[in-house]
Amino acid sequence: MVRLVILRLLESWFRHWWLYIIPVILMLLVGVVQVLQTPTTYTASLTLFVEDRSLLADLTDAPAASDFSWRRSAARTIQAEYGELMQTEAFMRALIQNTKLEARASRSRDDLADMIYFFRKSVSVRPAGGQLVIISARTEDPQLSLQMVESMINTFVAWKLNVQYQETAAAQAFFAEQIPVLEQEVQQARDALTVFEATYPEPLRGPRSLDEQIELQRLQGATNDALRRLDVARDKEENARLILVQAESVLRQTYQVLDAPELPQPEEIGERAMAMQIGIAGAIGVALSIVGVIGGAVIDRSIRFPIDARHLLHLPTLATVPQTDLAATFEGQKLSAKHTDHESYAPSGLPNTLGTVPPTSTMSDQHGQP
Amino acid sequence: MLRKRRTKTETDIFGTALTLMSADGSVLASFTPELVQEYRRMLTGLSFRSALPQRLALVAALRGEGVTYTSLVMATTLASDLDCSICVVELNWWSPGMQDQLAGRKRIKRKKMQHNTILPESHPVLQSQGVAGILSGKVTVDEALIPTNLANLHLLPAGAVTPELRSPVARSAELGEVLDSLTRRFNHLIFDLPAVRATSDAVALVSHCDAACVVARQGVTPVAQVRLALDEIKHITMLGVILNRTRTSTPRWIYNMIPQE
Repeated sequence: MVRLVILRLLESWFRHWWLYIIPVILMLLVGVVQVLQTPTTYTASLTLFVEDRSLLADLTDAPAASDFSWRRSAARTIQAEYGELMQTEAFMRALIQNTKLEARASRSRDDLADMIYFFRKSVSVRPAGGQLVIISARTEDPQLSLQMVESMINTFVAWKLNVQYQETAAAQAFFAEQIPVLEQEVQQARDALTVFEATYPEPLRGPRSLDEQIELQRLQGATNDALRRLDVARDKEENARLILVQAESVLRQTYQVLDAPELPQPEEIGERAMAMQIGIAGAIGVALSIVGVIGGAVIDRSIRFPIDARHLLHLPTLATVPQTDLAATFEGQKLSAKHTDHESYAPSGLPNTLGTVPPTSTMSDQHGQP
Repeated sequence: MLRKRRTKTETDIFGTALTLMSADGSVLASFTPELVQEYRRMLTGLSFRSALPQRLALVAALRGEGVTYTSLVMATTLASDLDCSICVVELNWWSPGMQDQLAGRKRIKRKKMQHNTILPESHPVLQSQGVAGILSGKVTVDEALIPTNLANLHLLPAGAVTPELRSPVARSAELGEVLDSLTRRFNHLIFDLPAVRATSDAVALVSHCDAACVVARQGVTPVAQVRLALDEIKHITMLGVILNRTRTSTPRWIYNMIPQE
């Protein structure tokens, strides 16, 4: 059965090999045309250095710009954050606003969706180490590539700043609200202590009574507590104000642009890339040819070889009669008809030497016979 | 290993063409050495492996398989090789082709040689009324038979039968009697029968034979059709398949590398 399959495949190929070469040639041409017509692209990129913890944050107990875990490097964390943010329409909208794409994106929802898709497809964020991140953008417009890269870093930093600012502002407002209340509590505690001391002055001789001592200690303790709470609230409020001031500085220290983006130059397609592109197209053509050969063999339900007769019909092949040149046969008949001298066949099978023997055919002859 | 591979199929270097002519010397058909050799090999095998049947039918599943031509080549080869009397009997009234074949009247579509008539209409070959004439009583067997340059080879075309009479004729006792008389007269009869899938009368006609060979065109005839045809005539001894018009595109050296069995 395997031999039969092999024979059929070979016959399918050799019978119409020119037909199966066509897809290969066509796909190679497609590959060449594709390479020649590939538009020139421009890639702008920047290198970002990500500090795990900034010195300023350490000195001022300010929170870090990002919570970097020991399980994942800073660069990978940033890459993941970018990936998550770019899934949101708000962040993408903010990215597009700083580029040329804004004009088109603001036309309609469909255009916005197209621009968002284009932006996502054109930019890439990849870690280049534990703390290095390379952000790049590739488009057919050098200006646009540059704008996209700049927008990526500026929008990200602004978003980070905004998040931290909101948190810190909320904390500051909370504690600012608490301070007057706590001051009032301190004043009340002091007043209560003053009233008690006025009501029950220190005796001229001997200590105070036990009840007076207990009450006095209680009032002094309440006053101290109120003072302590007030001090804590004032400290926290002051820290929050300090963080607000420091936030941008901390961010800038955490995310440092090492290689700033420049206006990109046109990229040339490397020979290897060209060869690969053409090779892939050629491989597709070969695959199509193979599919064609296999399809031709599968579709062919006729008897091709003597082995077919044995396997499919369970009969021996008595003869495989080759295809002969029909025109030659008729020409031979005509020529033979002109001759008048002839010998008849003897039953013993002596050859007939009459006239011209019609030209014989070879196995590869294309003509049919009646 | 370094010897040059044989590039050509081994052929009988003594093989020659055969030419079938009428009694008056008109050329009816020419057969190339390759054809003759192939049929000679087949007939020799049949003769020596088992006795060549007296009544041998050539059938095909579909029309246009080359049954008529095959019957002529076989008969000519057999008559030239053996000292026995042969008669080719055409019983295909649905598409009779023997007289056209002999007269060179076959249309070759590819070469656009239409109606390339070699024999005149008045030629005895074309005047024979064939089996139909015998059955209708218009001619005798001797008058219908077409003699050839080979004294031991005669041809009997089908003749003309109207469509409504074909089925009754195929099943008639008279036809059986005519065939019996031919059997008594000739050592071997080769029957050219109609396509089995084209008409059920082929089943009735093949029943007059001792054995049959199925003719199929390589790369054209669907296996399913041949199977159906064989199923219809399975009551007859099938000797084998004659693969007609074979053309192998695979190079011989690759073909030989793959075992055939």
